[in-house]
Amino acid sequence: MLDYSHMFTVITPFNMLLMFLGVFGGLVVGAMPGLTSTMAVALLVPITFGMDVNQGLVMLVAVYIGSISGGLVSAALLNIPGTPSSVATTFDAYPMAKRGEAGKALGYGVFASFLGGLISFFALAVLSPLLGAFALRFGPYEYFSLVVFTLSCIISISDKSLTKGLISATLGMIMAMVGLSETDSVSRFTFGIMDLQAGFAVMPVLIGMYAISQILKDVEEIKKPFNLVNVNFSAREFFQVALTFTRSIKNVLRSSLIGVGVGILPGVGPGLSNIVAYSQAKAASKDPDSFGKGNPDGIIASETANNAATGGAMIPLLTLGIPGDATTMMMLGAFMIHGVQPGPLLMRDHSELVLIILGAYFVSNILMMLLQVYFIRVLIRALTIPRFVLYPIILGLCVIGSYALNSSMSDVWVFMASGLIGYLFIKRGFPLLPLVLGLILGRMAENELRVSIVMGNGSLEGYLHRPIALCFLGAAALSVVYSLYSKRRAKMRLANLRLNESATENA
Amino acid sequence: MRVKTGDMFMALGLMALSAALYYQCGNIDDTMAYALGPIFFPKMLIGILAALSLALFFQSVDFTGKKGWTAPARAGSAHAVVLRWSLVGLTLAYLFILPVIGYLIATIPFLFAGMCLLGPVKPKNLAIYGVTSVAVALGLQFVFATLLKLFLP
Repeated sequence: MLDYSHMFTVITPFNMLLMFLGVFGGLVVGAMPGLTSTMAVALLVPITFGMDVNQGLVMLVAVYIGSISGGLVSAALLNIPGTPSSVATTFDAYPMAKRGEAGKALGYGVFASFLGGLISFFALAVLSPLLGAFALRFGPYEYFSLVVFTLSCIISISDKSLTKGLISATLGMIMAMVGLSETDSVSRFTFGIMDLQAGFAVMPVLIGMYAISQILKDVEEIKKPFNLVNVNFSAREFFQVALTFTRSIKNVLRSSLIGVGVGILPGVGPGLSNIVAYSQAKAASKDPDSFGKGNPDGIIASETANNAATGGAMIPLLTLGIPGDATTMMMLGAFMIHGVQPGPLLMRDHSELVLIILGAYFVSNILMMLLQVYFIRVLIRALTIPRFVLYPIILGLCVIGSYALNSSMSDVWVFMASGLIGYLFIKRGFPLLPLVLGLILGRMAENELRVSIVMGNGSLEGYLHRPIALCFLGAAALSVVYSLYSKRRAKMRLANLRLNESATENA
Repeated sequence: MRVKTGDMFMALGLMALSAALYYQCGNIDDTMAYALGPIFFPKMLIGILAALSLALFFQSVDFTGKKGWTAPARAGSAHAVVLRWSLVGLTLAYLFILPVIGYLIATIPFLFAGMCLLGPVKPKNLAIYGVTSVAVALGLQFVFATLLKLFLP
């Protein structure tokens, strides 16, 4: 059982300063259209390199919370979601802002984000120790099956082709094979380059894939200025809005549960939770037609769910060491740099670190609300920074961040090469998430599979006698079959639609 | 017969990569083989990659002309393409000179050139770019080298 009182050790003046800076930095980056929460963590991770473990973890969690919440500002004021987790927020926040109620729209969003974060904190605090204790039963069979399940989920939910998703995951796993193999210390695919003996460092690959590819993608629109809606937001208005939440308790609870549940699923995370919660809120509403026209419930559903999903996504990360989405993958890379290996053993042997993460999660949520209430003007100013000034700075920061990891130019070249590969993949419709997840989980998959085959005297039969492993493998197969089925159904619908259209034209 | 050229080239490239990696497996020392050896898993992955590349190759060709392919998205303007690859070139140049002339002397011109490349080039803008480049480069140096005691090139 965790001693939750240890959480309060996070409250020191220096840690509070770090969390303040982390949440603020996350909010600023998250608010900027095109800069996702993944990018926020990528840009701010290098700053934690010189810190000790506790301080590094505290700041990382703060950045994560801030970056997810920051998307609200641009969603409400620009009609552009700052991050994918705020897509559904635009549906009602922007119409509300356009009719002169931008302050109210932000107020609903900020308080909903806080409540979502708070509820997901409780879910994280309660579910993590339980799942961690359960995961202690896992052996090589279960872990290999879990990796297969995670990869299959991510591949099957991607809207791109299944073949391309599988290719991405396989390439990522092959990249993980570069360097000395963990089991027998044999050099593989290094092509005689000494710097490759340790394999690809995860952070430069992640930063390159997500930062460079994003910048190259945005180049075409880089000179277009944003059309900002006027906003007059005061703390008083925020507290007035917060009082009206008594009418939305059901919506908040439902959206939080959706957020936590969806967040736990690999590959889904905050990006989808807001849309699911929004559609459920609309379905449950007595006035569904008002959704999309500035209904506060739409903003509440979306913002509660995306913040609740952050806690949900942290659960498999902390208890199983399996990241669910690109941002938690970045968090995993950052944790490992600080010598923290998430998983059941972390829960058992270093529960103080888990409690520090929990404490930072709780405090960061409060800071996130206060910063958005009292410093919203600064965030709005951040939206006016032109991208042609911002992007070279981001590139410079990424280069320094990649170098600072090991004081090595090789990591910087890996960053650059990964960025170009990432851009090529995006252009050709290959999803990036399976690739980076394959890179992170590849070695784990290899080690666990090899050990499980040895345990089974060269046979895979052992998997048939392991119910948890069988469940994971069954779920993996189901997710792929379902993906194929839904894609086929969508194709048939499209074909029928075309037939109907041509029939109407002929008539 | 219609062909998705981009996908076809990707498939061919991936098949070539699979072959190269398979060949490279021959250079891996597996004399101390424990638990199926160090080649087993990479070879399995390479086999999967080759099979998937082949599948992609066939998917990129519409033999019957009945596949409901939509028209490909419009490629970016020529200006955007030039801008994009100029930025890549500029970054590569920065990476080459970074270890030679050091962080500060390399970063200030890189940031300035990057802003000039991507943004409008007017006297007022140039002044802003110059001041921002110097301030950012010095700020990053202060944070990383002085405050966090990390090495910079």
